[in-house]
Amino acid sequence: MSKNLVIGILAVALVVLGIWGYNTNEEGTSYKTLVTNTYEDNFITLQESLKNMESSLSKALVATNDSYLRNLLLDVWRYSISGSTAVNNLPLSHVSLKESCEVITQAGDYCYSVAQKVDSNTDISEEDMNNLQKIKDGVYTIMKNVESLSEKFQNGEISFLREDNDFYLSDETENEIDSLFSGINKSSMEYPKLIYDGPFSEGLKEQGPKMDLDEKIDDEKAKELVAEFLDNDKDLQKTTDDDGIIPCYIFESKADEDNKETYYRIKISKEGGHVLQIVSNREIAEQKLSLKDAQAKAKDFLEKNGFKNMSENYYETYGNKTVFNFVYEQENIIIYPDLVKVQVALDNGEIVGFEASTYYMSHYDRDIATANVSMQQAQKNVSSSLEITSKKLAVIPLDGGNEVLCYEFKGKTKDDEWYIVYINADTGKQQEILKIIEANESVLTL
Amino acid sequence: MHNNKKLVIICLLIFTFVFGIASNAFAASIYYGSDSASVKQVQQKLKNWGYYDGAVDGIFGIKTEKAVRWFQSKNGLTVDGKCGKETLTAMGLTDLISKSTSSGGTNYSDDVYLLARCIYGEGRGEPYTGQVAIAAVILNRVEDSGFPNSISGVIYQKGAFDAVSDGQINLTPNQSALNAAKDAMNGWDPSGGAIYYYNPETATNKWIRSRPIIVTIGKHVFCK
Repeated sequence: MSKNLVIGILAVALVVLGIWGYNTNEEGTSYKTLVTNTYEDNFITLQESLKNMESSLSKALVATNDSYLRNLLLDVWRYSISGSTAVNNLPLSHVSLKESCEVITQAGDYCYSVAQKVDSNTDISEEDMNNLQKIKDGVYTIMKNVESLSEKFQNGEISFLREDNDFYLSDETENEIDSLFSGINKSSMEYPKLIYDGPFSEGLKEQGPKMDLDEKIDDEKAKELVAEFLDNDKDLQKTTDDDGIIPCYIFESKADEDNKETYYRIKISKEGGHVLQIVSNREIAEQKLSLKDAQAKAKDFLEKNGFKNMSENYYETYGNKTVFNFVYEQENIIIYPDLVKVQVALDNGEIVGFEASTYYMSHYDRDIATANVSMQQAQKNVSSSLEITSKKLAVIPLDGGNEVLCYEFKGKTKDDEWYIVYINADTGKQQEILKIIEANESVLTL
Repeated sequence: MHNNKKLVIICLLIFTFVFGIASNAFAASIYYGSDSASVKQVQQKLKNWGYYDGAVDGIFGIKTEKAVRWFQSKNGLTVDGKCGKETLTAMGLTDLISKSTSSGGTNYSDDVYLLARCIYGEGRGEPYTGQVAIAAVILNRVEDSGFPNSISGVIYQKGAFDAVSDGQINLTPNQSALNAAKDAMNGWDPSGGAIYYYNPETATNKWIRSRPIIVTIGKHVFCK
């Protein structure tokens, strides 16, 4: 009898385990199917987007300069967004996809900027047309490669899933697809260097600082300058250099002997010895300082270190510290690209962060053109649904790295929603509208 | 007869074990891989009460788990070795509960929180500057035409970050990771404009090693 009981229990155990195993397997299969379907969806979307881009680009090349051409160019831009999203969702290494993604994204971005030219009745140059032709060729190359891949998928030669239950591609497939995609490189297809007014313009990557940073200094001098900047002679240790766009020396200083974990990391440019950045990991205790006092500390710090004509424009508090943003002002015109940020610890008012890379990248002695339209004229182009509370002149940065002089109007709707409207001071047209989103602990002080 | 009872119990134990693993849902609690500040507090409490005799080092290991289990069984709690809500309440560490659900007063937007999770998953052992630099690399990619145009697109790109592939991105980020995410969003970029980084001790990809290096922070090399 006792023997039977054991057999019975084991039998039940077997059945239950069997059911469990079956269910787990089913579950696994359905996940696999789901993942494969997602990959295929993306793959087909990519194909469709490329086809549509190619077709719109071909038409654009034979179209004349009017609103129809603009629509074609905007179509390319629209399909490029779905295409780049799809290509980035494929289970391929991002390294091999990078150049294809670049071609797709830039093609759309470039077409968008040409479409804007059409809109503002600017003539489309021969260079633009040549670039569009080359972009079309680039898109065509990718399209052909993707087509040949698609055939292999359809014949079952390659598959998105490998046999051993891994959601990633098998090494063979990955190599095959990788080589198809990494074969797409800009140099082999004579892809043009696209410099235009858009966020992905090629010129942006190579842009160095706009002002002359001055003579190169050695690390001893840099150390002195850092100590002067921080106004203390804490033990500064030189660490590895930074070979970014502005080459820098990096110094680290420990807070004190009792607190070896806490450090300050200071980046100073090799040319001219400008402090570009301070980062500290100090854990900041409860707030003791009022924001007003903290702001005064930030302002003093900037003035002491030679930043003149800086006006405060935004601050935000997190982790018991406040980040104050200051912008440069020239002849009462706000220069938004020249931005400096200072972090003040709210427990003792110490400066725990500083960031001036943006400032040194964009600051130079500007020769600001006088406004072509008057403020009254410009205001006529601001929506009447806004009650204007402040207005002034400002230089704002554009996507492609250029700058433009604008009238800045801050106003609110009757629903108490705040907006900042920028009217181009040369053309009198709307340049940009910003909506102010109220967030916790962040305040815009315009 | 006595032997059979034992067998029945063993069978039942096997079941509970197997199904226990199968139905082990993810819950916010202090366990293996939790942030060291919280683990230290738990270890200190357990040590004070004599449940734990190891070092208060902030690393949740097998000794800590045993101590937690002992504490749980002594106090009539579910014995699972994890410091969940009930266990933390019993220890008087209620502030750690709120830490795992919200993060100290400030609300973080979805983008910042996702960024912080990626920083925490990828570089919680790295110096603070290195954490800010990881976030900066993600933001630099968003701006680069060769990568997706959103933070989530960059983070969830296939194979781009190990912490995403192995699920560590789903851990709850600590204050340091949140601050690093905010600093990077506010324009601090200690990576010098890098779009890649790797750990030279573990990286196997030849291509990435050929990239021009910008700066080394902690264990990571940041490159163009």
